Amino acid sequence: MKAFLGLSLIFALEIIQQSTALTFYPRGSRSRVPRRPTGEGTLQSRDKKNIMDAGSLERILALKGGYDSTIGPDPSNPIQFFTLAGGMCPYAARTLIVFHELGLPFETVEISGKPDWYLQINPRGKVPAIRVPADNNEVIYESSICDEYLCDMYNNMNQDSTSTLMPNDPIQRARIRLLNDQTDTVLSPAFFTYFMNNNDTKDEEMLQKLENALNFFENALKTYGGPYFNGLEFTLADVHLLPFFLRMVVTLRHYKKYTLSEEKYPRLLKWFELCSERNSVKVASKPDQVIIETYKKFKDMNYKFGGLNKN
Amino acid sequence: MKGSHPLQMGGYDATVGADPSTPLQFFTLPGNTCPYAQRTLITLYELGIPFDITEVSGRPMPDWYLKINPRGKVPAIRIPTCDYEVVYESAICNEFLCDYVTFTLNKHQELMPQDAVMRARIRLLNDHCDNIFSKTQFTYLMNKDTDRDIQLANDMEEALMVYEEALEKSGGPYFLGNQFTLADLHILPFIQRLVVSLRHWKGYSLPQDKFSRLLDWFSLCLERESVKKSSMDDEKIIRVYQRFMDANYSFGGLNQNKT
Repeated sequence: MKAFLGLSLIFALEIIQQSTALTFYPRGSRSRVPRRPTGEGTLQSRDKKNIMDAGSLERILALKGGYDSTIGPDPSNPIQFFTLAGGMCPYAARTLIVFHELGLPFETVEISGKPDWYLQINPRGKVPAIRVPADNNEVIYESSICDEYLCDMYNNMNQDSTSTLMPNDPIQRARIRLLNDQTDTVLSPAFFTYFMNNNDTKDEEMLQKLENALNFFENALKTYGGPYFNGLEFTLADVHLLPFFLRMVVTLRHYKKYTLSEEKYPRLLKWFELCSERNSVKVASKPDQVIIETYKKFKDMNYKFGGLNKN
Repeated sequence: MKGSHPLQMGGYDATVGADPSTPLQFFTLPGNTCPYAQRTLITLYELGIPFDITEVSGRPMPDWYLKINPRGKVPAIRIPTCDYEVVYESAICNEFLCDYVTFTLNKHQELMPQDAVMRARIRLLNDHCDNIFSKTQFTYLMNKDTDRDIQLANDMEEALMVYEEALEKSGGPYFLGNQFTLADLHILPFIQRLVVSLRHWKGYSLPQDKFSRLLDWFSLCLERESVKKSSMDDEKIIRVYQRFMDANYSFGGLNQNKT
């Protein structure tokens, strides 16, 4: 009986997958590159033999939306978004903000650990990643690449009303990318290293490094007029820094008794307040207490933050 | 006063800005030995954008250059027609140049196509080059413990397979297919140095059976004018790398051997 149900379900899912394949692809986003050979993202793939196993029917029924998320999203949702269970990853938070800012429909799949099926999707095993059925189940990872892709895709689909998240002006784009590079290669290592430092004699030097990194952002707000990094419009430059800034403010206050001074960082503090009012940012943020508890765990295990903790 | 400033080139003060009749000032190392700067030089030639070269050197870099690029590295570009805006980091410079041609000059360019998926693929390949592949090249090259050589060569080959697979998937001859893009020029300067330095110091060559497409790709890229004009010849690569070997160079952290 179970096997029969399993078979019917498989056929039902296959039919859904095939019939919706044509109707749900938004116009204009179809890829013009040679299509990959089928196998990934369709039920004809290797996973079919898994589905036939005894416990697999329960597994399928326990999965979201009644389909196997290891293969692909419900075809009625254009994009599948992979994030950590609990939503604490600041990199994935960036992409979540972008989804909400652009109003793009998506489906969330939470990952914990590095299960094999996820390594086949993102060989680096990290989040965020996105998978796009409308573009032949293309997989994209690394937060900045996901975010730029979503903006490119949105703008291609809405040529008369492109999003301001990533403007068309070459200089502004370069500025945004430079700010994001600063966030990733200068600010976040400085933050994690200072936060995880247990050697009191080194605290001041590390704090100095962090403040130098923050000065870059304060200056950008000054130079380009604010209130956002690119000026009047909220862009990927704001998105990219926000989840880190939130964690930094909360954990440094709680664990290092350090707060950013109004005197040194008036614009940056105003920027943070303004951004925190945006719905997309609220959805992607975690309450202070959750951040404090999570970061206590990091402290206890001497977490390396993927190499960003330079201690 | 014209001619009196030591850094005057083309009749203007390079510390201040390019002659406004030159759209772009490109900062690189003397002799253009830097592979990151070579990426941007290839881009400039491919796009046919007129520019002026300023060579900069020093450890540390001179103060006037640190005011231009606070990180003190090359490449950097400065654009007089855009209020002397400065852009640095090779990937950001190269995307800027492509955006500049598309949106400011309103001309078609194919180094960075407009298709969203292709752009994501290019950026992913370039991220792979910078964050996964390049350290395997330098760690192998600089390894002094011969017992580890085979493992390190394997690590490097595994990292390179991503490129061989990209060529298979797209059909080649370039990473994204028919068109030479930012993905090809991003790794090219590193492959040039890899081929010469690993042959010279490790007696190593990329195996033909594993990397037949990549080797074809490499030969094809070497025929491009932009690449010929921007490359060092083999003898020069060896001379430059001899200095790195003598100094047990860290390659900015990409050499992951413990000293």
